[in-house]
Amino acid sequence: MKLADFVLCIAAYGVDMRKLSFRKGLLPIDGLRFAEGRSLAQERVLENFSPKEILVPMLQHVGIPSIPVVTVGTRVDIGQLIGRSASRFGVPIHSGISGVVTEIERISLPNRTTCDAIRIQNDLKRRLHPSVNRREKPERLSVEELRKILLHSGISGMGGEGVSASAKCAQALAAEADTLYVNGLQSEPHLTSDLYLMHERALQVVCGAAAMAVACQISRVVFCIQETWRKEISAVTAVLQDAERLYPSISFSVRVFRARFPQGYDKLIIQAVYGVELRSQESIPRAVKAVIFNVSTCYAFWDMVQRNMPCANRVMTIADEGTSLRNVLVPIGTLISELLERMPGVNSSSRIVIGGALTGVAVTNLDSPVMKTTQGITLIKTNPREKTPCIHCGACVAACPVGLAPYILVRLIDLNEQMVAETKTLSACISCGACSYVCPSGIDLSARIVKAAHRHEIRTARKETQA
Amino acid sequence: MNIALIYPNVLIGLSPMAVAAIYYHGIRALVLLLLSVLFAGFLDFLFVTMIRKERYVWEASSFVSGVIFALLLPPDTPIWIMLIGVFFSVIVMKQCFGGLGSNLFNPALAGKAFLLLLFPHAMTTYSEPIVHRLQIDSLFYGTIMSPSYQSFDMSGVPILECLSGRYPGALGTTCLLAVLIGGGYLLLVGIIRPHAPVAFLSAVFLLYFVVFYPVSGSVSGLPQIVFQDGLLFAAIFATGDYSTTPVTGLGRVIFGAGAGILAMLLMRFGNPIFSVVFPILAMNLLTPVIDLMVQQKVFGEPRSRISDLRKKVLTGGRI
Repeated sequence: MKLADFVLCIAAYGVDMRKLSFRKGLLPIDGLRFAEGRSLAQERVLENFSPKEILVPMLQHVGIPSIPVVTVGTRVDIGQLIGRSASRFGVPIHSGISGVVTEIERISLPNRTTCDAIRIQNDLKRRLHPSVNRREKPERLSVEELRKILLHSGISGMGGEGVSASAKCAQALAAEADTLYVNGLQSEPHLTSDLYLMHERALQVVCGAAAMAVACQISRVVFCIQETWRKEISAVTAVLQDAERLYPSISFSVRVFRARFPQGYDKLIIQAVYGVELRSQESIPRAVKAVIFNVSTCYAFWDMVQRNMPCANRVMTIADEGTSLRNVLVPIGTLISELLERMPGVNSSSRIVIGGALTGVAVTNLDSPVMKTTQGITLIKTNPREKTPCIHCGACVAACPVGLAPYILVRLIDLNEQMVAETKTLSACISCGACSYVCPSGIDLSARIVKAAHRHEIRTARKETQA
Repeated sequence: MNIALIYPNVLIGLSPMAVAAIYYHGIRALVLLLLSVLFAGFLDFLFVTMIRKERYVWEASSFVSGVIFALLLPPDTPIWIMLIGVFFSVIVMKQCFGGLGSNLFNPALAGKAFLLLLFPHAMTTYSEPIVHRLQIDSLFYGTIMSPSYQSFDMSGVPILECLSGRYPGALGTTCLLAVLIGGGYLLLVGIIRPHAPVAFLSAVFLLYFVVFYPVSGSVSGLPQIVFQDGLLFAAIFATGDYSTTPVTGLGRVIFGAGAGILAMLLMRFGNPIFSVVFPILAMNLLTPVIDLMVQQKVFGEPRSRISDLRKKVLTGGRI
């Protein structure tokens, strides 16, 4: 570590002199310096991946699974509807490839949910559905038209949140939100999909955000970017003028954040900007009259607005620990196993994590599909450390962004899980994984807390159905 | 941070003091250090494999407590007394309390306190630093060539001498320059957090004016108090031990301040011999309470509310 790094490490424990951030979290220089590898991988060329088959789950959002509208043997085109939403909070599902439906099966996803999934065999003809064609003057669309387009676009929170964008828009309208924040922070190490979009497709991202703002009747759009990503900041700033010409009623600005993990969480963004700490049940639009959308979400919306192409593809990062990063455009439903097989230079003997190194889920069944909420996959080579007992060092306490004491929670979970769960401390955990990362003893704090919270949820749900 | 990196780094931070000890006290210091380290490691290993019947994970924490313990001893300590101290420190104070991370008291300091109570004469006999370092017979007869002192009075030693350590005192704690170099390294690397040492020294400094100044009327006693044998060493290394100090920053400040206040009170009104180790041990005892009361504010919850968890534990909720 360099001397400057030493001093910053001490500053992290001491006085917080940062302007726009929360007090905790990890500095990018902590520990393994995982953020340094990202600056090497700013590719210009995006690989287009054409899989042999896709397996599209019906549950890629928060809520009830969508219902398939195709049967085995149906021929589908790119952009065709294959699942309709089952509730107000659901999203429709579309196909990202052209081909034939071979199977509709029940699968279990890495995030412990089960749902139906449609398997489509690619016929490599790349046929577009007739509904997919360019719109004239997309910037002139009215609020009602945009809301209708959003409803049929099938976009759910593509930064991992999974909330239906259309439902969020309705919430923003009801709360009379006045600002739309575009979350381009992506503080998870190794993942650069949002950064790529901001750098290479800046105009689409900005216009998508503007269109989303019109749909929510918002006149102020703020782009949230980390201070270390200067190229992205300048790329976005450069296209703001063009966007203002298309959408003169909207004011755009860029807000720079300190580089901390996990700044990208929506409640932490609100804390940094408004200084308000919202509890997990409170809704952001109602509390501060703001709404947050991810960069990929805005990009997908502009795709839909401009040429009526629904959310069926996404940019995701394939990250090898510290060495190589690659952004690929894949159809939703691409199997991880196929991605790994066909990517050159990928060492498949590493552990595979869907998501980032800190918040992702490790998978052993590689036949899991890429979903709308998947930002990337991380391949971790280093073996997990041997667990030693907790040395009571307080690193997890210092790192926790929501002010919990993970070491105590884990110890109490082992002793009396019921009591801990009843005190509602477990639900405050945002499962960012920072505590597991800093623990010098290698204890998997975050995983244990999240699993205990999950078990408690199941128990309370069972009690409610019985009562 | 990685356990495999923390304790070796602490050993690196302790090495200036070990070098100073060997420089001033010769072979005897080397033997004391080595025996203490090896015996501590051996006892740790024995206990874990024989009595706990677990797989022993090799890490240097027992070596660290062996080194700290040895550095606190007077150079003339008979070897058998030192071994008794190591036994108490590792087996009783560390392993019987639950092993790595579960110990309530700082094992090295607790061992020194044990020896202070049981063998007070041996623990307070300090000899001058020897001239011929390679004198082998110093191993068996002690530094019998040089005069020995009982509870050496620091008032005759000029400040620069304090820095270099050429005066009678415990093995490693006399050379303040070494303490500052080692401690500075650990602070820079981030292994020791600055809260507790700064609070400790501030409390000592401020309390001097409450406790000593009204009596002596002059500030000249302050350097002797602060540079007293072992005080700075304890302030930096003992308050920087992870398992026995609080977890939050504010907790560590309370820990350091409390230890500093107790140290000054003992120095004025109690026996000054005990003023280095016992305040820290007392605050170690209070660390669980500090951890319980001083907690971070949870995101979204109001600061004034005592958390449910704390309420449950305080009102006797069974864990």
